[in-house]
Amino acid sequence: MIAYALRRLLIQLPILLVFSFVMYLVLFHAADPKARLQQIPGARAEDIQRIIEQQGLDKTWYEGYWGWLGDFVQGDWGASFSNKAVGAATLIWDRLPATLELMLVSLLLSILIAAPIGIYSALRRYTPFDYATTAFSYIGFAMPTFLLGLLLQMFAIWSQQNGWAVIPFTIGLILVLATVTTLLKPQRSSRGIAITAGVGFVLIWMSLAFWGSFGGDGQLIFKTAGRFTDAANGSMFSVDHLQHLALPVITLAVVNIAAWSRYQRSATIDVLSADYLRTARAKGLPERTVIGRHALRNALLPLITIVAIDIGFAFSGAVVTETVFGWPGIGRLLYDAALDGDITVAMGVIMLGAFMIVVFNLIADLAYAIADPRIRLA
Amino acid sequence: MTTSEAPQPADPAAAAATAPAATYDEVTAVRGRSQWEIFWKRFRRHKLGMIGAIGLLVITLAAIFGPIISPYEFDSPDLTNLNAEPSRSHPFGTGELGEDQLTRVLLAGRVSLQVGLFTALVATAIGTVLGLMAGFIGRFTDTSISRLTDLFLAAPALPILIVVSLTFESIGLLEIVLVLALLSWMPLTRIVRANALSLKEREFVQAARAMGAKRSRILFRHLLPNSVAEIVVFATLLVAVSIITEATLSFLGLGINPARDPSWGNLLSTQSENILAGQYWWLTVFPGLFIITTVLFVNFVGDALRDALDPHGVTFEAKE
Repeated sequence: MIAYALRRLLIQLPILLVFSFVMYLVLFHAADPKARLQQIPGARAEDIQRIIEQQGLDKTWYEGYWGWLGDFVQGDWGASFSNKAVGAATLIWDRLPATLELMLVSLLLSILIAAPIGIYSALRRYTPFDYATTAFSYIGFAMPTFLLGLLLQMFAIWSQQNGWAVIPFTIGLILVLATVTTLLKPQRSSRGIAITAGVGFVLIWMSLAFWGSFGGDGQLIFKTAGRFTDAANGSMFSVDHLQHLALPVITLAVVNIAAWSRYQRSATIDVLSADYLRTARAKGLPERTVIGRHALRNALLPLITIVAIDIGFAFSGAVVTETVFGWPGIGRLLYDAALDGDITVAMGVIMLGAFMIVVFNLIADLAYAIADPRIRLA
Repeated sequence: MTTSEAPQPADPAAAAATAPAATYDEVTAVRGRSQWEIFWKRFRRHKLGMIGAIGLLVITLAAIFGPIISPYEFDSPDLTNLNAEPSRSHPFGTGELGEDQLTRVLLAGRVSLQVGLFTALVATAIGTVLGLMAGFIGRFTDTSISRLTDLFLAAPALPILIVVSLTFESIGLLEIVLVLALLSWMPLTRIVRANALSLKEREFVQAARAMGAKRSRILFRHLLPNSVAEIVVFATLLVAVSIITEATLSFLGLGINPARDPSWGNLLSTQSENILAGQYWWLTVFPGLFIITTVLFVNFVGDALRDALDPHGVTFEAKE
């Protein structure tokens, strides 16, 4: 398996190489630092000339790429054009924990919500619950990440004006709306629908009764930007940090939950019709054992693959979320670097992103092979 | 599967007495259904698909004719009416120069819908041609196309889009379509290639070849039609994805230049400040709603197409 993994990575190396070359060319063409220097007001010609020589900006694209590549593979990711005090590598490594934190938290949350939803809607197919979660994932698919971010910011400002009561009100509203989707397909009276709608209405009524009594004094319950209020000495385990974390995590999680719960649903349905389950039932095993010990083990396998692949892409997909919420991660760094024409930093982040995709694609295959003994990697 | 639509006389003897005797063939004859009829019959039964199709039609017609009917221009300022709440004369409110937002959103819809449509067309064309070439010609062509596909698939899409869009001075409809299409053809190439590879070895293609069919005939009469289902579904879903991606890029300020064309994305690009200041909600909500509903409808249609074009699907329900 180790041999397989190494071989896979070796095959991917030329692809990464070609990719880095193409990206360097495009960035070189787009960034044009020399023209930017010329635009600095009051810059003298000899100063510009000195900076150009210092930073090697007069190189042609092939000299530039060759030099960058040589340094990059030796671990020197180059100087940053816009932030000269520290190199590109330092900039990126400093920002990395923020992105990793955002990814891991949203990932855990998504799995913990998506898997049970998917399994339950597969077990209770064509019930109101199934329809409601289907509707939810349709909307999740149709929602651009940045728009969800904007809407959540709107929600944050709304809760700033009206206090904590806004949260149960929204939950109640979602519960009531979830029962509306079942009207598409008229059902026999169902206890589930009645309870859901009832709880929803009670929540709405209670929150309206206490509207504005909790908070609502202009304090932001959910912070809309940044990672800490006091960036210098913020603690990872403070309430303040959680308040900052909530909205970006929800933004990332909603898309994942929408996709993964559907995936889990169809994976579970596949397993439910398997012969060995019929055997288990025929043996007289109680339904709980059949589902819990026989079905779920196999039903959860495919999710490993899709989650691993998505992690690879999430790494570079965090640009939007980090930009909307001013989260100081590498996505935001890439956005700024690209706009500033900072080739070395942008190349560093992009290559890191491409590397993550390659690695996690490999991890997806390996994990699946470990979990499923029928699969042999050759 | 019931196929009989021919009238069945209640009493064969009586029927035979009054009418000229029908031959066996006439009685049992079933009017054949064309592929279109079968497709349409299945599509029509897909409730969400019909909702999506009708909804898309409404949005498209509104985007085409709305701005023509509207008494306002895209950028006609009304300095007495800045950032006005939705009212009867301005159902979606007005913008920071007093522009009528309904007109702007509909005009932006023209651009966003075109982005989705044209991107899907271009990417589908690229994907189909490359896939057919790789699968049918094989050998060196196949290897190089497959490696190219791998290269594009291994790439993180959003960072590339950001970097590539920076190379343009100002981005309009044409540029964004080319950029988006360049980065979205790969999955289709893989599908069409795999299809062509397996179909190539099937008996009916071998028979065609044995009868002396030209390569072009095999390609366009046998391989292509058998991939139509996948191609159509891919194209439809790509419309939705492209609309979202364009909106995202435009929101980041890297997509369509607001000075050249309005799009749903760039209408939203400056709204973060307004939201954080807790004002002018209508400037965000209406373009946002249009994005979500359009994408939702496109996805409904895509799902319905997938079901309707699936050859393994059930053609008719028993009760029919």
